[in-house]
Parts: sequence; C-alpha cells; structure tokens
Amino acid sequence: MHEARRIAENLNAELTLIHVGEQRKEDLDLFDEILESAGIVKEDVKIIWKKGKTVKVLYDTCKEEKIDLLILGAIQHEAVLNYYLGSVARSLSRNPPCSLLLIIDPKMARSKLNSIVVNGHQHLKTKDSLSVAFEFSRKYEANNVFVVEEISPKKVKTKIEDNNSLEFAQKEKENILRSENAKLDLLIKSVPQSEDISIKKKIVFGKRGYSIGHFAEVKNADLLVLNSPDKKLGFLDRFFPNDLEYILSDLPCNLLIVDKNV
Amino acid sequence: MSLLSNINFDFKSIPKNLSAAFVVSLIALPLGLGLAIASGVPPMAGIISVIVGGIIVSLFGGSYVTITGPGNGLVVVILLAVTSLGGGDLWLGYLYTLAAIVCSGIALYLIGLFRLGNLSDAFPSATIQGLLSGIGLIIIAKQIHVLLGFAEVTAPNNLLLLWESIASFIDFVDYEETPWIGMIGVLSLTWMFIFPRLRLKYLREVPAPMWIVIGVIGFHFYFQFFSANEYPIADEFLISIPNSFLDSIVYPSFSKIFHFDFWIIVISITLIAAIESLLSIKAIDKLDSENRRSNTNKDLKAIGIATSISGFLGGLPVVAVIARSSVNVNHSASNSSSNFFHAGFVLVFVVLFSNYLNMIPLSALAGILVYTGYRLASPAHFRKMYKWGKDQFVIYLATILGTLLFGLISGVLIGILFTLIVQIILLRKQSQSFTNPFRPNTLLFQEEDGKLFLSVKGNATFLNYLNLKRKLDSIPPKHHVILDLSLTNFVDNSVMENIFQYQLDFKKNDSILEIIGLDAHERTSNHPFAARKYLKLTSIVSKSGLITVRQQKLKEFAKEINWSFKTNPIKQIDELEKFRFFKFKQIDHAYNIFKGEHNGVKLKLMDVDFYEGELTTRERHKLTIFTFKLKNRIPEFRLDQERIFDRIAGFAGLKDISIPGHEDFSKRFLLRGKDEETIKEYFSDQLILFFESNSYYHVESNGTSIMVFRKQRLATISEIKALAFFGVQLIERSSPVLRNYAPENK
Repeated sequence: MHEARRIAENLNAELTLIHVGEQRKEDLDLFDEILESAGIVKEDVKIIWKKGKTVKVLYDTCKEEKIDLLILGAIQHEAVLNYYLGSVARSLSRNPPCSLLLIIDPKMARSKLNSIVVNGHQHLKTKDSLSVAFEFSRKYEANNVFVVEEISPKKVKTKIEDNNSLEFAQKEKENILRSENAKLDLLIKSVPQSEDISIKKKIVFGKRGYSIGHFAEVKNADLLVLNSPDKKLGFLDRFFPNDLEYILSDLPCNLLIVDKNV
Repeated sequence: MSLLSNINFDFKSIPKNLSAAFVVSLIALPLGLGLAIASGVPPMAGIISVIVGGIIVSLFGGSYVTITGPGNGLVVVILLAVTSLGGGDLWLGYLYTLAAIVCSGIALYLIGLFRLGNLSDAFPSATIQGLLSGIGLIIIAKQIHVLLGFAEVTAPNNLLLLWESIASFIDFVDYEETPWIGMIGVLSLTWMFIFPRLRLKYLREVPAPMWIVIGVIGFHFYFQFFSANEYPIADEFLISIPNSFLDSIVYPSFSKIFHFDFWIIVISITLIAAIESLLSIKAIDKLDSENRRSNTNKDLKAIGIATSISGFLGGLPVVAVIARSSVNVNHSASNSSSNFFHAGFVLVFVVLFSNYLNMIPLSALAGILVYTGYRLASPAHFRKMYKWGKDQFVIYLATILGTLLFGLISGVLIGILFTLIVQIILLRKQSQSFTNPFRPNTLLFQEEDGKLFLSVKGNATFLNYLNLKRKLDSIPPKHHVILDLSLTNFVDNSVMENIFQYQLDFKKNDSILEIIGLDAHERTSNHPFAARKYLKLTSIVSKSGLITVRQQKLKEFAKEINWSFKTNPIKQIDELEKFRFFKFKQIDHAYNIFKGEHNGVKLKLMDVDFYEGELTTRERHKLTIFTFKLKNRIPEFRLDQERIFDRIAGFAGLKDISIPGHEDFSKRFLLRGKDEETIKEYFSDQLILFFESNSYYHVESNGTSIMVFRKQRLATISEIKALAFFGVQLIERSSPVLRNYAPENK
C-alpha cells in the first residue's frame, strides 16, 4: 500500500484499490487501518469490492476499469507446488490484462532507484517498454538504465571446436554485435525523450529471458522492465521454461511487465 | 574437405616428426601385442589397430600431436566380450567382438557428428578417476598369472581375482625353484619400474618396453647359438604371429547382432573408447608446445572410422592414448604426420621381423601390462583422491569397487549415484538444493573496461557444468575474464577442478581468469579442488582457517607491500559506520583486512559485507573498501563520477559543488558536501589534477577519515592493487592544513 501510494504520487496517477472477497466487518476495519497507516485518504481513491476467483476478478476489473498499471506483491521464490499450480501474481503475469508491477521489495517506496534493466529485443512491444522504463528512470532519478538485448548463442553459426573456428566465431559475434548495436541505437532513438537519460547498452549472448534476469541480479538492479508475453503461457511452459518463465521462477528484483496494446 | 588437409607439407618439420614417430613405434609395437594378448585376441589385432588408427586418424582427425592405437582401458571390455559372446569358444567370441567393434566405431562417429564429445565433461571427476583405477586393477588382476607363467586363475569376480593374483605373486617370491618364464616376467616388470629412475642418457634413447623386447630376443639367441641347453620356455608361452601379415587379417561375424548382450558390449566399448580418447586429447592439448586446441568432435569422427575399419580387418578398437602421445610430444613432434609415420614404422617392423617377434615370451609383455595397470591404479592416485576430501575419496572407492564387482558401466553409474548422494548430504540444509540442472545458470558479458564478466548462479555441479564450459570455450585468447561465483550456493569438485584447469589454459593463451566470490564459501577439504558451499553468516567465523586462492594472492600482495593481512571476519567496524554511505545500510562484517601505514597514516583495505533493507527485503551486498585516518581535519564531502541525473537534479539538498577554474573536473565529477567554502579550499589544483588523472572512484570523507571504493562488488586482485595504489597516492595529497580547521580553531 505504501508503495502503491508512492508510485501513484510519483506518476501522478489515480489509485484504484481492488479487494477480492466478502465485505465483512473485520475486513473493513482492517482495510481502513491499512489505508490509514499508508497515508491514503479514503476519498481520494477508488475502492472496488468484488467477489469471485481472485485471478479472474482482477483480470476482468482491470479490463473494465481500463486500468493502466496493476501493482501486486510477490515473493522471490515460490514453493515448488505453488510454482507449478500458479499463484495470483504469477498467473496474472503470464497473461496480463494491463501493465503489471510485481513488487518483491519496497525499494520502490524510495524516491530514488539505483538502476533499471529493460529488455531491448527487436520487437514491436519493445518501444513501449523502453519509453516506460525511461519514464520511470526520470521519475525515480535512476542512475543507470541498462538496455539489455539477449541474442541466442545459436545465432552464431560457427561451432567452436578449435582455434580456427574460435576465431571465426569471434568475428561472427563481433559482426552480430555491431549490427545489433546499430539496431538498438535506432530503437532507442525512436523513443521520445531518451536523450537525457544515462543509457547503457548491453548485448548479451545467452538464453533469452534467463540472461536478463541474471544480469539484473548481478547489477543489483531495482527494477526490471519487460515486454508482455506474446501468447498466453500455459502449464507446459513451466516444465520447459522459456522467456518470462525463467524470471518468474526466480524473481531477481521488482518486475514491471509492460502491456500497452491491450 | 580436402582429405590431406591435415598433413602439413612443411618439409622442415618432417625429420623431427619422423624421429618422434620412430620412438613412439618402439613402444607401440610391444604394447600393441601385449594389449591384444591381454584382451584375449590374437596379438596381431593390436598391431592392426595401431596401423589403421595411425593412418586414418592422422588423415581425418582434428588433433595435432595425439597418437592413436589400442588403449588399455578397453582391455577389460574386450576380454569380457570375447569370453561372454563366444560362450566358451574364444575364436568365435573374437569374431563376434569384431562385429561389436565395427558397430561401436559407427557409434563413435555419430557422437562426433552430433558434437556430443563434450558430454564426457559431464561425468564427475572422482568417478572418472575411479573408473580408470578400476581398469588398472583389473588389468593387474588378469595379467599377474600370465606374468608368472601359471595356468589361468579363476575367481567369481575381479575383486577376488585381484586378491588371488597378489597372493600368488607373494607365493612366487618364496619359490625355491623359479621357472624361467616367471623370472622373465618379474624382470620385465622390475625393469619397467626402475627405468624411469635411470639416468643414463643413451639407455633412455630407446623406450623401456623396447629394451625388454630386445632383451628377450637376445635371451632367445643366447640359447639358440651359445648355450647347449634347450630354450627353457615352451612354445605355448611365446607369442605366435602368422608368418605373413595378410594371414592375420580376420573378418567379423555379425550373426549375434540381434542379441541383447551384443549391444551391451557395443555400448561399453563406445563409452570407454570415447572417455579414454577425450581424456587423452584434453590432456595432450595441455602438453602441446604450440597451444593448439584440438577439434575433439572431428577427432572422434576419425577415431570412429578407424575403429570400424580396424574391426573389419580383425583389429582392436582405436582410441587416443596418453602415454604414447606424451612420448611423441617429448620427442618434439609438431603435427599429425608423426602419428602417420609411427603406424608406418610398426607396419615395417611386423612385415620384416615377424620371425623375431615370435621369440617374445608372453610373460615379458605381461610385465609391461602390469606396469601400465599399476600406473592407472598407483597408490599416488589414492593419496591424491584422499587429499581431495573424504567425500571424494568415498566416491572414488565406490566407483573402483563397483567397477571390479559389476563391470565398467555399472561402476560409472554407481560413482554418479554416490556423487549425487554426497551432494544431497552436503546440501541438506540449503533451501535450493534441487534446482533444475538443465536450467541455464551462467551469464557472460563485457564490462565497460573491456573485461569479460562471467557470473554463475545457484548450484554449479557436474550436472550443469557444460553450461559453464560452453561459455569458457567461447572466450578468445588475450582476454581478462572475471569469474564471479558469489551467487552460487554450491560448487562441486568437478567444476572447481575444471575451473583450475581453465586457469592454466588461459594463462597459456595470454588470457587471465580471475575467480572472485568464493571467500564466503566453506570448503569440504583443504584441497584447491574441494567443493564449496555457501555459508550462512553465523558459521563463517568458526571455519575461517582455510583460505581461497584470492586470499592467498592477497596475502602475497600484503607481504610485498609490507602490510598485515588477516582473513578473519570482524564484526565491529565503527569507523565505517560514520560514513554517509553506510547511513542507511547495516554493516554485517568485514573480512580479508589489510592494515598498513603510509607517511605515518594508518590505513585499512577490506572486503565489507553489508545489508540494505530489512527482513524479507533484506539484500546483501559486498564491497572492497580502502580507508584511512587523516592527520588533519577536513570537510565532509563525497566525490563520484557525475551521471546525467545528478546533473539534472540535485539530490537531498546537496548540490554539485563546482570548483572555479576547473570546469572539466566539475563536469565529470559529482562533488557533494555541506561546507562548500572549505571544500573549495580543500580541493587544490594538485588534488584535482590527481582525481582527473585517475579512474573514477567513490571517495568519501567524514571529516576525520576517508574511504575509497571503485565498483559495487568485490574487487579482483588487480583491482585491489589499483585501489591500494590510488589510496596511497591519495594519502600523500589529502591532509593539508585548512584555514577553517586550523588547530587553533579546534
């Protein structure tokens, strides 16, 4: 709640609280207490009480109310069973109704973030993610914004087997780096107001989805900004993790999933 | 692909390769005969393997100075195959085994084709060592009775057989009347043992096995020409080679191809051949004076082709062999032509001298073989494994026993099972013991200063070592790599051993591999390859007796510059807490502490562990900090690299102080502090020049002391040296007497 208020204040946004469950007396009292401690004036915010399955209610409400950003608390690692069956936060991030912020530590409550990591894949959605990341970095005065593009090692055609192939592979890698760097530059330039932010580009050869999470952990990032998944992630993806699942199974820091199109 | 692309037609290199090939062939000939006899197949099978292997692999292979031929690891498998497939009929068993060899050659080719050669790195080190020692013991067990000239000793399993053999060997020493055959065997074995200790230069020009061959042939001639007595060794104890080389060629029989046993044998041959070859290739690459990296997959394909052809012609499987290859390197072979020539020499020997070879008693060859078995299972190996730690020793012994009692593949499986059990026991209290081994766990990227940063997460064990290996293999020469293991929970022996091997390899290629982040890990033993387990903080204090390589290096550095160095963690670090940097952070402990003095100023350099946040959001950070006490009081300030945001907005009311006349400095550095006037006085031209001419450091003063650090992680050895140098320079410039803080004002 504290963080939600701070974030809303920081972004000049209207705060909507969604409570799923029955509206019992003790719940109401507790709720008021929480609001008070978080410094939220009841009249300033919109409160929605609904009953039903948490995930579904949240999903539908977000769509109905045209909410821009849904904030959820999450824990870093989930118990094995929970992971495979899915918690509220995780299920929503697999198929987000709108942009989604998973908070694992309340650093966002601070007025300043140290560093933000954002993905830089060649994808239509990336532009949105970048602009959101830049906006956050401006609002939170982040020192560094790392734009990380992950390139699958399979893109390097040469297989490293001996000195010669190592040399070839290295040259090929450098070529890819150069062209990707140029593409990334274009992409960043296409995002408005990117000039006044200290942006660091990082092109990493590694498994997509996994590497960016590991990078965020190494750099002690405070916020990781990602594109929303292209398709709904199903049950099988948890056994054969890809992209987003790597990060969801082991959250390195707060995670923001940007979904502007919906 | 040009077939002859591997042959170097550099004529200058031919003489030295020829001479190396000659020496190698002198070993290959007796060893080939001996390995074949030990495998229960005709002696010429070994020679065919030498010739086919040498020719094919030198033409199609991807290695440079490796020698190929029959390998000692396969003796055990082939012997088992011949006895079990033939059902008592050794000749029939031999024909079936040849078919299995042809099939495993194809399998080896496929392993190379699909680039699965790397998989051999996924076996735990202790298990591989145990497998090799087990093979050595089996060779000893099977050969001692041949060496003594006894009839075959039988026992229900190899362990008992080993026992019986050693017992009979001890009995033999007490014999009153020793038969000649046993005498020759014992002499040959003794010769193999003392030969490496002989210092006679001319004697050593010819390898030990060849001396034995020359000796026993000479012995035969003595009886033939000078002695009145009969040659005391019966024909059945002598090698029998067909008079014509072509007579020794036998074709395989594929009629058992639909039997289950047949395929078990094929798998065994393939597995052992692949492991033995890959281990040898890896080891030989380390010896290569030109630091070339062999193309292991290409080599495996060639070895596969050679094995199939050898099998078709009645020969043993072909593998890359370490002992002959190292002799090859020692005699300054420079390319694969020596492998080709050595096969040629062996061919010439058997064609020209087959009559003389028939004079060699089996026991003489058994002596050579027992020695190779001893080399695989020597007490030195047991000592080495014991030093690796008790856990590894248990795995090693379990693998040996498994190999002796149940066979090679079962032995390997038992070893892997034990490794997993040991790791589970070690990790029983850690939450994340069972991470998915197929999940990626490595990240490699280039830092701003051009160094490569390789970080590993979670459990680094033999199961996911290939991830790390692939990353390390992709690093070209002449790079500085920082391997950060601080995010790992557990690093096992196999990974540690391989990392240390890589460190040596990198050194040869003018690269540097620095390991950081292991200081907070507990070791399972005192050995450098010992497994590391991440420690919860409470236990770090009690178990700090053992030190890491980084700490060792730091110690040396401390000695060099006459500072004291202690690894013990200290909980109370009051002087740091006064710095603004730590105002919202909680210092847990400091360790790896340097203490010294410069110009009468006391200084400290240490790794600091601290927390940010509380409870569930608590995050742990590590930092290497240089700090010293000032002689005079100076203003409080903080100096950082200026970033774009700092330029746009001031932070917490402390804005960037610009020093008049130093616009560039003010632009590049962010200087913050309350007492602006004094700070301006403090930052003299000389001090500013000093900051400008060095890299960016975070420099912070709390009035009475200064602290300096570079990056928000532990520093590497070289970074620590740079930090220490920067700090010392700073001491010389940082204590001017200031007007406002002059002693009389105090």
